[in-house]
Amino acid sequence: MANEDEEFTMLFRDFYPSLCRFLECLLGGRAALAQDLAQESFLQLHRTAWGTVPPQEARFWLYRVARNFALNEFRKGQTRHRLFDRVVEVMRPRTRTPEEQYELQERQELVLEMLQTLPEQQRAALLLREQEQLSYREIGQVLNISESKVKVDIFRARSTLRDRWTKRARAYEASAR
Amino acid sequence: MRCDRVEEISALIDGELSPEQVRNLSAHIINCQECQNLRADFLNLRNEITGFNPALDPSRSGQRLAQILGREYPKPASTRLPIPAVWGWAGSTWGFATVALIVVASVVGLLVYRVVHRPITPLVQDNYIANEKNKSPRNANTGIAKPDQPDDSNSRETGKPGPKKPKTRPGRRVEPPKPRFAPPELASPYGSQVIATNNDQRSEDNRITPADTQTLTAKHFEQSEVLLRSFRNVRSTDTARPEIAYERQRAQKLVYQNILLRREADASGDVQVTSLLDSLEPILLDIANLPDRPHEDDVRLIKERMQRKNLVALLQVNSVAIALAND
Repeated sequence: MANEDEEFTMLFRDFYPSLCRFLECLLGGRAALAQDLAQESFLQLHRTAWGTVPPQEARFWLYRVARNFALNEFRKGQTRHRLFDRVVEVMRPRTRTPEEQYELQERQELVLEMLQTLPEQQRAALLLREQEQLSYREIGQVLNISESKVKVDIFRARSTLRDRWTKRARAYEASAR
Repeated sequence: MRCDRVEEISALIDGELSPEQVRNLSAHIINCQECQNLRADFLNLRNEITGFNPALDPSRSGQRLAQILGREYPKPASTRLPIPAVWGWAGSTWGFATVALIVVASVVGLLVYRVVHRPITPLVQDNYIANEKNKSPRNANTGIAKPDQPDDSNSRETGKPGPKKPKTRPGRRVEPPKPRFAPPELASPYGSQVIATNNDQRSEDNRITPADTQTLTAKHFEQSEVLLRSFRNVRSTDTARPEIAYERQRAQKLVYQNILLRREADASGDVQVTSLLDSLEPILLDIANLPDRPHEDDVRLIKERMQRKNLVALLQVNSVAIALAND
């Protein structure tokens, strides 16, 4: 039992941050909700599937479940606000200069905004590829689609983002003149 | 007219093409401006997406884990001092309310102060990689750059080491151990002994020119390719674990070179070379951190990652392409 808890703890430490990152990007920047859903995914794994899912599959299982939770949230249209979490976020010590932090935050917000314009499946496929470095086969396993569909989705997502980014950049340059 | 091979560019940068397809597409890219632009733009988008990091409070993560495991998370000891008995006036209703308000405000202020000054301890690798990226100048404001020279074939990863897979009981190990070898911070791109010893590469006024850097990069790719081929051919016998002392030592030296060359490439805006060096670095680190006789599962996992990234083929193509460009 202690061994299993230890293994689970290691799994949690390894994948909880990346699961939060995936969910936060999927949900358009809702950090507190992303962390709640990440916790629920691990809870579900611990209660129902731990010991039955092979260790090398646990990661894909978690992403699959987390994504399903996110889809449920989209359907419900709920937004959870955690005042304390927001305070913590604001008061968190910064390691960058204010200008760097501002620029970074702006770019991150822009990325999140643009990701939200993609269809959910394309967004999920792109995030799993770019952030989690899963192969097309593994992404297909998580999203329950074929490899060729993954390839097409990722290409379309990138093309869409590229077009929007270019338009945004041109608009920015035009307004700067 | 749109090039009919643009859809393959996406698979190229994801390492999903066979070596033959990579070579074929690389040859095409050299002569196709549209594909060059597309690859550069896709790689820049990757930079933007992977630059996103969630703000996680380690203590709250610990609390969440404890909740999942059904354990009580240890609370910090209370720092409240007992109210002296001499404050008898606090016994009245108003007095009590005032004291209670002051105490609550103090506790809230103390909690906020603790949260603000609590150190954050991210994973060592992520912090190391994030620091490396923060030291590099960013791209132009448009976020999308055009390449300055014909592209080479490239299959780039994010530069972050892949998420660690769970460690399991002996016999079910899935991922190499956490890295113990961490190259120290290098103050100057030209301060490394590895590059400084190549005196024949320097120009007359003892500065490293872009051509020197390209030559060094081509050499580095060549050396890395040799190392990875050697590592790929490592086999264990029925009775003994694989022996990789030579590969480990080579990897340790090449990691330093990789870091310096990556910084140079990043500073000069060479996205393709930066991408390949980004992909290569975690593999070199992992090989450098293996024991002399590692478990065969650990070796197999690194080989699989090399295979997925098509690193050997890409290193070969890039070293040849850079050498040709310098001629």
